[in-house]
Amino acid sequence: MMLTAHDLWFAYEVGNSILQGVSTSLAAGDLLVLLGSNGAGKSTLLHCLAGVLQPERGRVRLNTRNIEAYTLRERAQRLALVPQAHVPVFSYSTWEVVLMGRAPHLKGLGGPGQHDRAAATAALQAVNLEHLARRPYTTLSGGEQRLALIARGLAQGAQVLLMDEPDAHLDPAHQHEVLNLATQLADSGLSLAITSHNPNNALIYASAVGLLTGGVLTSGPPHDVLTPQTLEAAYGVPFSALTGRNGQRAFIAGRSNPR
Amino acid sequence: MSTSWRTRAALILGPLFVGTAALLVGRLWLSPGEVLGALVGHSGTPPLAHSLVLGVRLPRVLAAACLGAGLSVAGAAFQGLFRNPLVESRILGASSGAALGAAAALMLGWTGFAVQGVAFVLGLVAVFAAWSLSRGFGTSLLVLVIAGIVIGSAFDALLGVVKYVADPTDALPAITYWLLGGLGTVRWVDLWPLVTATTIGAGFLFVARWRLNVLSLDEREAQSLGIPVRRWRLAIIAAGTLLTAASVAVAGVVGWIGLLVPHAARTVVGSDHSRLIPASLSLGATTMIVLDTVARTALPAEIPLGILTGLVGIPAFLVLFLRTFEARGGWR
Repeated sequence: MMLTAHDLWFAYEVGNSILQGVSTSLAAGDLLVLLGSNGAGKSTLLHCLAGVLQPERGRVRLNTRNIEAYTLRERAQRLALVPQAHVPVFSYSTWEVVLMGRAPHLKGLGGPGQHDRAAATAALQAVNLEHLARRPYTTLSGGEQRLALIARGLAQGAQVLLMDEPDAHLDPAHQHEVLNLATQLADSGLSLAITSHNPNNALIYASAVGLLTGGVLTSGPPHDVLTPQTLEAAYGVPFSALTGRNGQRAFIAGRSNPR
Repeated sequence: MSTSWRTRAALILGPLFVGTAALLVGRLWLSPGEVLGALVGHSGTPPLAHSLVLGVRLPRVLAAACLGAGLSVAGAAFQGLFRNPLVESRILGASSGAALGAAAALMLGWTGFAVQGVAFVLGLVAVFAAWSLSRGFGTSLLVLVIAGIVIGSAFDALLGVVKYVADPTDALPAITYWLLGGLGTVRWVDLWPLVTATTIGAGFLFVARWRLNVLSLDEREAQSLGIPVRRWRLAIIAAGTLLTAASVAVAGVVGWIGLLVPHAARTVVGSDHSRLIPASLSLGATTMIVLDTVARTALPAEIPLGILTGLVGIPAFLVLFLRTFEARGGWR
């Protein structure tokens, strides 16, 4: 499954375009991490890619068809939007939340059948959450909620997963758990695009990085796109690059000398 | 979470049991044998028992079941759809519209079907007006709720006008009594419109119940799961409005049931609408049969249902509900 965006323009208010001619593509096995400062348009781009927001100009294609040419059902069977963890008003069990991913596969008025239940259970197993199936979703930890929402996307049968900040508000171990799962899903042939606030996570997990600076997306291999100069241009603070003993890179923002 | 077979059996048998028991109770108590004889048409049944059971009590019990089931299931659906545990099906103005319609018809000296018909139509008109008004400001649910409250208040004010100008010797007492709610005048002929509306409205919500889970998510999220949100919303609002307008048209304004029964049902079966909708149907029917039986038997004169739900039903429910709520430590 191939998702391509060509020359996307998007503005929330007239004359102030948050995306200014963004192009990118996502193939099977890719894990694209979208970076940029708060308000730079990461989520906007993600929602345009998902077909939830309509760009003013440019087009998004899923395989060979424009994304608007798919019905809601067809689109949801191929592409899943994994929102930032949210608190639903009613307390559904984790399994019930995952089962909602089967919505695009239902016919007529009816509810999910045996096949749909099996798919939900399999999706929960794929993210190693089957032991929490019966727990109320609202009582899960932040990391577990992220995993459950990813499982819901898998239950959709989607080949493309678009995730909005799956590593936000998580401790390092849980960030690793969620992003490591993302790399495994990419290795199994899915296409993933995720937004993040952490350039170092992009260095570790991404196969490609897109950095949004002033409405323009620079994309490519993580080590090419992310340098102290490009990061400073994107975030407006100085960055220092560190190199570890094994050659792994990392960036720290702000002061380079500790107080 | 799955529901145990005991809970299921209780929910299925509860309304049947309570409904049958209610047939025994009245100014004249009947034996189970007499009731059963009347129901199956046994020739040895005393004629009085026969006419009491089939002519008076059975239509009333059925009407109470429809009323409770309809208001409760509409409340459960609206709470899910509006993502708000504090709404009931009155929120869009259906009951204010129906009340105005009934009062206007009574002021004109109309009776029976004419009153019910005008009430039912104005109930639908009120919600349609709220829907149309909100469309001018986009498709947000919050705007729709505000429009419903505005239209409801306008219809309430018009109801005040009707009461103010109604003849205080006969029309005004009739209006006041009607607004307090009750099933005292229900006969078989009144029952069929209510049964039809309940079957259609509750039947649709029952069939579509699982979708309410998805519709209770954020609109964008529900849409990204492949659900045409606005079409489903319209259908569910239509079904809930049909139930509410039909209930108010037959029984007057009976509040609180549509708010509290779904919460009670949630404490029993959880939040998943595929179980909550059937449980609300059952609990609503059971509750209303009990309340209506009390209404017609507790005092020498009939107690208006609206007063009873406010004074007796609700505190009893609250105690039960808060106890369970506390025991479970919050919404489950």
